Order: sequence, then structure tokens, then C-alpha cells
Amino acid sequence: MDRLSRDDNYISKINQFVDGELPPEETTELFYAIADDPSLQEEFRQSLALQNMLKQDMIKPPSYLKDELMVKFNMKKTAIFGTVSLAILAFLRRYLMNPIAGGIVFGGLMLLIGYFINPIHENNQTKNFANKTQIIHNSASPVVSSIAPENITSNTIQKSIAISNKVQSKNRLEEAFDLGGDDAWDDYLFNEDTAPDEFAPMQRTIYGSQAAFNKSNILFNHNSNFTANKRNPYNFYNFLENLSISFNKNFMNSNIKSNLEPLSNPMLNNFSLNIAYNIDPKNSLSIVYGQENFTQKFSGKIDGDDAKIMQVYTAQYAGIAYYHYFAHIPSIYKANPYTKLFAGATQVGGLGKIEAGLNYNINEKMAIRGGFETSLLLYKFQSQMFNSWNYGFTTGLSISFR
Amino acid sequence: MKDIEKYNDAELSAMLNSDNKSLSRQAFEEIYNRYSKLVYTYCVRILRDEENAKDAFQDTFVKFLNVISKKGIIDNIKAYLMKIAHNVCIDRINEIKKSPEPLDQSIGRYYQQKYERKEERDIIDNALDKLPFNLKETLMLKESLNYSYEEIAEIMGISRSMVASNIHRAKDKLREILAPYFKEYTKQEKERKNG
Repeated sequence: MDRLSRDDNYISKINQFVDGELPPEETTELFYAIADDPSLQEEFRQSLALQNMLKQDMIKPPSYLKDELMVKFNMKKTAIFGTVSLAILAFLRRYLMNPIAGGIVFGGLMLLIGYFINPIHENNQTKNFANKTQIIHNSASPVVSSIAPENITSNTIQKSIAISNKVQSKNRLEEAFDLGGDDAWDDYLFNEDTAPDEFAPMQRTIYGSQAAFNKSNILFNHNSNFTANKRNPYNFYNFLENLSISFNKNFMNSNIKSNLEPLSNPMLNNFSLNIAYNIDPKNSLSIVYGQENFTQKFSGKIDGDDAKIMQVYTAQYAGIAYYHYFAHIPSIYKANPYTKLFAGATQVGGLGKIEAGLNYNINEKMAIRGGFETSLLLYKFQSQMFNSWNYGFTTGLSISFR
Repeated sequence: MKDIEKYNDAELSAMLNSDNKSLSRQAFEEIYNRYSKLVYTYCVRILRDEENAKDAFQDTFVKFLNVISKKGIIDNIKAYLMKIAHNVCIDRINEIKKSPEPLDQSIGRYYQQKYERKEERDIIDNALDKLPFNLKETLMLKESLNYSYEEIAEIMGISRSMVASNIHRAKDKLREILAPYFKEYTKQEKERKNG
């Protein structure tokens, strides 16, 4: 056996010894060889060092995986609902972080908001208004009149057209004011000389679209009850008009002091993107995607070993924010204070934010804002809850589609 | 059953197969508590992707539970589970038909945060990535997961001497790759030990 293969044989044995796999009878022989050979002593030292370097911690699987397995094998029936819910949430979380899927969910959410807000409001408001102004609906022909019901003849009901100081029936939206029926009667009604006094005729205007009608119609534009949600949310243009997008940048400090730099790309740190649906001029709901750094600190035992951990965690988050805009400041009519509440999730836990500041409308479509923001991240580590919070200045640019 | 942790693998596998649901559930929980970290760590380190690792981890336990219902008693659940995990991960790697990508940030966090010497961890991970897959897997099973040569041989379907040879070759290659760093590391280690 030449020296090279002899050494290689001993190095292999050193590896086995370090791994605790060398039989006792060969261990003695190896020790004698190491004692006589400085190069083998160095190999032995290096082998121990390498083994030390290769030691790695075990990674604990997420707890919901266990529940899912137990449900799958019918060992935990009571957890079915919880586990399924958790699995759905975990599944959704994965995909909500994807901008395309997130956008689809956002679109669905906006449609739901539209469904619950707009039609109900509009119908109720129309009904209230009708009661107050004695609007009489007729299945054959829409009629609005200021005449008391008991004074209306059947002929009046069928043929009369609106009129109570420029008030029109909303039902006329359906047809561009062609009431049908007898043209002579129409001529009578719209002729100022022949129309009865109480029937002040309106100018007959054909509107190109519902939006054009809405814009010109007093019922929708000049009555304070109708300022909000006045349009059909399922009309694409109406929907788009209520959307705005904003880009925000935060300059945050952590409550945990450290000199560590985040691992993430500094260009993307502390940015967020909001897609907002303006419920009315004072309130909006938005979907927020963003990234923010949180300093995390741990001091305690991990798997029986002492551990001190300090790191900057870059959290990608998604959630929903509610903005409330206050009245304009009298001396700066384009500026108004606002406040924001945000609730969302990161990959490690929940995230909440509160923001207050000033919004300044550059023009009809663009606004800038700046203010003070605090963020709180709650996360679980080693079965304990921890929190990390940031505070600082935030600024943003908002562009609306109106 | 309060002392379920005292039972060995063969007894636990028999309990898991029992018609008594409560006993079966307790046996499963004990097996899970003993070996889930091993299996999950293996899946994460081999697949180097959190979502794939979770899927592989679940597949492993599903297959294990299916097998045990037919086979009855398994003497070494630790090795058996890892053998299944090995096959599941190999299948998964073949499916995605690409070499494992760097650990994503969320996985890295779990093991990196314990070490304040993050740079050192990165150097070792990069060096491990340069090893051929079978050498890396053998080394990981031994050094990270503490499996014996016999168990590794059973898991990977190779002989014990091949395991020893793989580990020898893997360490040799690692030393070559880490040569520039090695002296600095041993010096730092000495300094640490000397306080």
C-alpha cells in the first residue's frame, strides 16, 4: 500500500470515526496512526471542523399539515371544518400574493361591494322620493305627477308625464322619453299653450347614454340623498370612475434597534401599492400589496440550545385598507386630513397599520398625501407570540380613473 | 395512554393499525412527533422549495399510512419514512425536471436565524449545492439528520460501504471547495473556544 492510498484509507476511517461508524477494533489502529502522523492529525482536526460546520437545525413542519393528515385518515373528525378552512386560507394566501389572482379576487370583492351598496340605496332613495312627491307608477306607462292620486283619472295615469318642478321619473331611463301612445296627446302635453298649468312640460331631450342622463338629471345630481352610489356599479365606466391606484413609500424605524440590513432589494423596501374603490368622496376601501422590513429579536432556547437571534425580516403583505377623508381645510381648500386603518397578513403572521396625514388634490385625477404611520407585526416563533412594530413617515401618490 | 412515548417503532406501528380509533390516533401523533421534523427537514433541504416540501412531506405520510395498513408492523419507522420521503422527493425532482433552486427566504429564515454567522451558512450551502445529488443526499442524511450508515443504505438502496464511500468523497469535495474558507474558519473556531 503506497502512502497516498494508505492516507486515503485512514482519511476514510477518520470520517467514519467522526460519524461514529468505525468499529472499535479499527478505532485503536486509527488512533495509533494519527498519533504518529502530523498530516493525519491535521486531517482529523479538519474532519471535526467540517462536521461542526455541517450541523444544521431541524425544521418544524407547519402545524396544519398534521391536522390535514389526521382529517384525511379520519382520525380527527372534529377538526374537519377548522382544517379545511385553514387549508383554504393557506391556499388562498399563496395565490393572493400573486398580483393577477389578487386582482381577480379584488375585482370580485368590488362587485360584491357594489351589489350590497348601490342597488339597495338607489331603490330605497327612489322609493322615498316617490312617496314625498306623489310619484305614481303604472305598469303600462311610467307616470310622475304632482296631482293627488284621488284627482287622477285613468286617462291621466296612462298619458300624463311628469312634472313637479323639473322632477322626472327615473323610469324614463328605460326609454329615451318616447312615451308611446297617442302623438296628439303628447303634442298637447308638450305644448305650453295647451298644457294644464300643473303640467309644466319638460324639454324633451334624447340622451346618448345613461351617464349623460345622470349628469344632467336633477334627481341624481342636486339632491343630497343621491350624492353617493348614484350609478350602476356594473356599468364598466361607472365602476372604473370609482377606482384609483396609489403608490406609497414609507420611511420607517423599528422599535427594536439593530444595525442589520435587510436581505431584500433596497429598491423595493417599504413600498406598497393600493387599488382603491371610492365608496363615496369621504370613504374608500382598498386592496393593498406591499413590502416592509421588521426587525425580529429572540433570546432563549431552541432545541435545548441557547440561541440569540436578531434579523431583519422582509415581510410581503396583502390586506384591506379603509381610508376616511375628512372635510377640506378652509384655508387650503385642496387639502384635507385623512386616516387609514389596515388589516392584512404576511407569511409569518398578521399585520395591522394605522395612518393619519394630509391629502392634497393636485387636480381632479391626482393627489399626493403624507402622514405618520405605525405598523404592528404579530408572529409566532418557537410556540410563542412576538411582535415587532415600525413607526415613521409615509407618503404616496394617488391616481384616479375618473 | 400517557406513556405512549415509551413504545418502540414496531409497537407503535401495531397500535396505528389497531381498530381502536383513539389508540390509532395516539400512535400516529407519537410517530408524527418523533419523525415529522426529520422528514420535513429532509424534504426542505432536498427540494429547496417550501411549497414543494410541504406537498412531499404530506405525500410521505399519506404513503406511510397507506403502507402500514397493509404491512402491519414496521420495525424502523424512522428509516422507513425516510425511504418513502427519498422516493417521493426523487419523483418530485423528476417531475419538475430542474435542479433544486436556492432556498426561498422563508425557509432560509428558519435555520439561518439561529446562526448569527449567516455568511458562513451561505458559504456551506453554496458548497453543498456544488456536490453531485447522491453525495449531497448521503452527507445530509448523516450529518444533518443523523441517520446511521445502515439506515442510509436502506433508504437509498445502496450498500453500507457505498454510503461510507459517498460520505468520504463528499467530504473530500467539500474540503476542496471550502479550502479558501477552511483555514479562516478553523482559526475563528479556535478563537471562539478560547473565549
